[in-house]
Amino acid sequence: MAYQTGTAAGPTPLLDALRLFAVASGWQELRWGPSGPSQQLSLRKGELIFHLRSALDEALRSGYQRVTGIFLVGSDQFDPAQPWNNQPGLPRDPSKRIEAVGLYEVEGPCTYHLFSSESPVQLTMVAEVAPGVYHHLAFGQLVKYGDYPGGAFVSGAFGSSDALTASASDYIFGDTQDLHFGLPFNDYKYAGGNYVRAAADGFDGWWSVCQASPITGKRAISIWEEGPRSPRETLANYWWSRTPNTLNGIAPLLPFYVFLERPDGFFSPFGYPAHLRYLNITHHAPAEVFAIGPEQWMAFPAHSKNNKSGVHGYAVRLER
Amino acid sequence: MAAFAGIVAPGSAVGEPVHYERARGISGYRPVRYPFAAADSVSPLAGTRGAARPISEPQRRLAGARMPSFADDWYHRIHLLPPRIDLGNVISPIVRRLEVWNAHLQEQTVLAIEATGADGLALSGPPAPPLVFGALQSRTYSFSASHRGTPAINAAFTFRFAGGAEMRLGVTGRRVVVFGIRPDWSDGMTERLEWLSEVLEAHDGSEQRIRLRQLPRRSFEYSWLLEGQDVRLLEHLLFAWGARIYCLPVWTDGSRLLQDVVAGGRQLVVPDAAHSDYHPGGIAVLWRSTAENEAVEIASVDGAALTLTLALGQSWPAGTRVLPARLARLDGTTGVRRLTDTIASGRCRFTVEDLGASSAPEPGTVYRSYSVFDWPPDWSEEIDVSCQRKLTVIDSGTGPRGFDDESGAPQLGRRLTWLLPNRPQITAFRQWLAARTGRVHPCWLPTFTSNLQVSRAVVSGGSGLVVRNTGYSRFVTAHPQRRDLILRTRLGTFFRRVTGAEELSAQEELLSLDQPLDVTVTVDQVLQVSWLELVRLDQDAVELFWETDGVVRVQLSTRTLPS
Repeated sequence: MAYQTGTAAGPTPLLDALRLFAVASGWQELRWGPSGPSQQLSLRKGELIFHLRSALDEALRSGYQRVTGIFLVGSDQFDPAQPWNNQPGLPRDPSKRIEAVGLYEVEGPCTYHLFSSESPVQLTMVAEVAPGVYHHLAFGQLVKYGDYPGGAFVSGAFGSSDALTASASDYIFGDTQDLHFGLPFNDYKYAGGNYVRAAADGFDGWWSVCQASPITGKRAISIWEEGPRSPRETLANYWWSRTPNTLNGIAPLLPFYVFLERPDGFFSPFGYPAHLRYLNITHHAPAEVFAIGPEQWMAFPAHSKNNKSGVHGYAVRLER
Repeated sequence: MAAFAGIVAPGSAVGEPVHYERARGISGYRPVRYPFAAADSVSPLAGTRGAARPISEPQRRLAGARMPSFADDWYHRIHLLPPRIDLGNVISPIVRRLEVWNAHLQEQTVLAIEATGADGLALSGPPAPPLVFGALQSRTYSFSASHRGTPAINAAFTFRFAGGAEMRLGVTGRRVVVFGIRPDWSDGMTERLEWLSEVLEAHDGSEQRIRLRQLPRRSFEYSWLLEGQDVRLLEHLLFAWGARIYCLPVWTDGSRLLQDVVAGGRQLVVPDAAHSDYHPGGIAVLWRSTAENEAVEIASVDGAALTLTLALGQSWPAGTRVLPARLARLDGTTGVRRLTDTIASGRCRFTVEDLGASSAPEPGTVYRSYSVFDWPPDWSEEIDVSCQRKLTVIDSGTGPRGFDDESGAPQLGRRLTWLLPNRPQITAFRQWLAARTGRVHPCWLPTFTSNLQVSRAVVSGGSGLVVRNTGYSRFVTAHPQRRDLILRTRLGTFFRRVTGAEELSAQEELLSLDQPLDVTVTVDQVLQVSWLELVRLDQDAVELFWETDGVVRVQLSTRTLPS
């Protein structure tokens, strides 16, 4: 099973749908059981281990606000004696406190889309939590540019808590129409909602994809980091300003490149998710399927089309 | 290494310029003459010249990885534009353009184009395979779909390229139009099932019954009352599509979606699907109004879950009516009565084209190889019983008449009505009806009347039944048409055969049963003793009158057979 859609009445049914889909897609269910008022789920595929937990108006830990949705973390191993949030090798801040990504605002029934891909492994869930509002969770393995340790990633619409701001400075390309809530690998946000596992420069852990103040102490960026000199254009902006093609209306897909910040201030390319792309969805409806040759992709808005996320969006590879 | 014949030409001598003005600071000069250097004065040489290229250059090796870009999404593959064709409802011939673009930087050869499910569909244009597509070459095919062909279109054209690559063009659509005019339930709805059989009757009344039709014909008849836009839509529907096949919702089997379903979904959860006309390969209709509806094909049915062959074309909210559907044609004349300029009523009759048969076993207990249909009839309607003889009158016209009772037995006919108040009962009745196949297959049917009155207790192990004297031992005595009993008691229901009878007194007679009862039943515990008759339907056509979409009234004629 590589694609499934349906509806779920809340966070736990949504997580249960993801569980059943993952098992049908070849993931091993390490644990599915109660955790407080909700459910926890641990999944394995090869050496990749991820943990998810549904949340009903709960905070990840003290210091974060309460959310309703699903938390997601990755780890190195699975310890059945420990709960989902105390597993070996979780994303943690320098004070060793857990950090996670998530899909929140699941206040009522929502429609979900589940995607499974191989080579490399990736499992993606996109949920329409309110009419026209889409949030995502994705986890799996990056395609790496070299033989580096690590490569696992977790991506969510939010970081460890549900902090959406729409201040005048919260946009990518210097224009208020470029709001970008919920984009995968969004490095324009402080703290960020994505983590990449890598071992480099004496740090073996989860690198926070963000603009500044990496929450785990180590920073990775994607395609929105500005250059140091004028014009301070970003990789994404060079591409964005030329999409969709005015000749035929087609918007090319841009991979979410991931770079690791090195001690000298420069960035080294590390990898990219094979089954996610940045997309200008001007000419696509949410959840619309489109084809590129033999491949099929499904378009989603970063948050809500022509609303909080303008026409920023992403595409997920669809196999069925 | 290539060798060239050649010569080195001498340079010309550089002489003093004709017009010049020497600077004052320069007192003298020495003219420069060719050759400037000793090497320039080499005499011209004849011979061969060798080319030593390529010459090695300084190299620096760097390890790295190639970063993909959107160019990888566009090149090095084959594009079908559009990648999928959704024809929707095909009501007239359709032609579309299909572009096949070889986005490889090398030529590619199409070895074959394989079509599956392409009834009434065709690709034309470029030459037939094998066909070479040059690097970055695009060719345009013409795709055509005829309105004649299978009702549900789910076809694929597969382009097979040398090297194993293949591209698949999926084509979906429907050649049916949903007849979304809902019935006016104040008149109810009539469903008619028609089997066909032939009954060959012998001189002694015994029969040979032959089934002539594999599946029963099915038709629906109902009235409708419409206003405004629906009337206009109906008129055009009848005008343009009247002779063709409609997708007719089975209005009697409707239910509502409990949850929203989204475009792209392939599952529907339908309450009461088990008691509705859903079946693999069939059609379901999501209906919100005469104009707003969608027909989908069912791949499989698992309890209340329907898996669809194709994804839903649009989203439907909870509360949307969902109905099974059949392909049907309008039968006869459809009259439309205009009540005002915007209101119309009428009545239509449809004959179903895609007939199906129930594979479910018929309900009920089996007694002596035949099932017992022990469903009490609706007593709001009288039960008519007719008794006639296979009597031949021999009349020469000149003398007394002679009579020949050919079979020696009466031919009993009954007319019963049943009211089926819920879907499970309607489904069970349908299964029983399907097992009868018109007049062909008999079953046991009680008379539903108190034919005998028990006057003494029946002891456990006893095989005698003492009843009030009704003349059975004198007149009937285990006649093949009147020898099986159904005893309804507070301790259970028993089926027994009478093997003999004797008169005990003017008030009582004793019936001998083929098997004793295994319990003692007192007179007070006996509810009813009725004759059990082996009967067949006396009609091939059965009409189910749907009072509502959950209540059915049906009337049947039966005929008794020797048991």
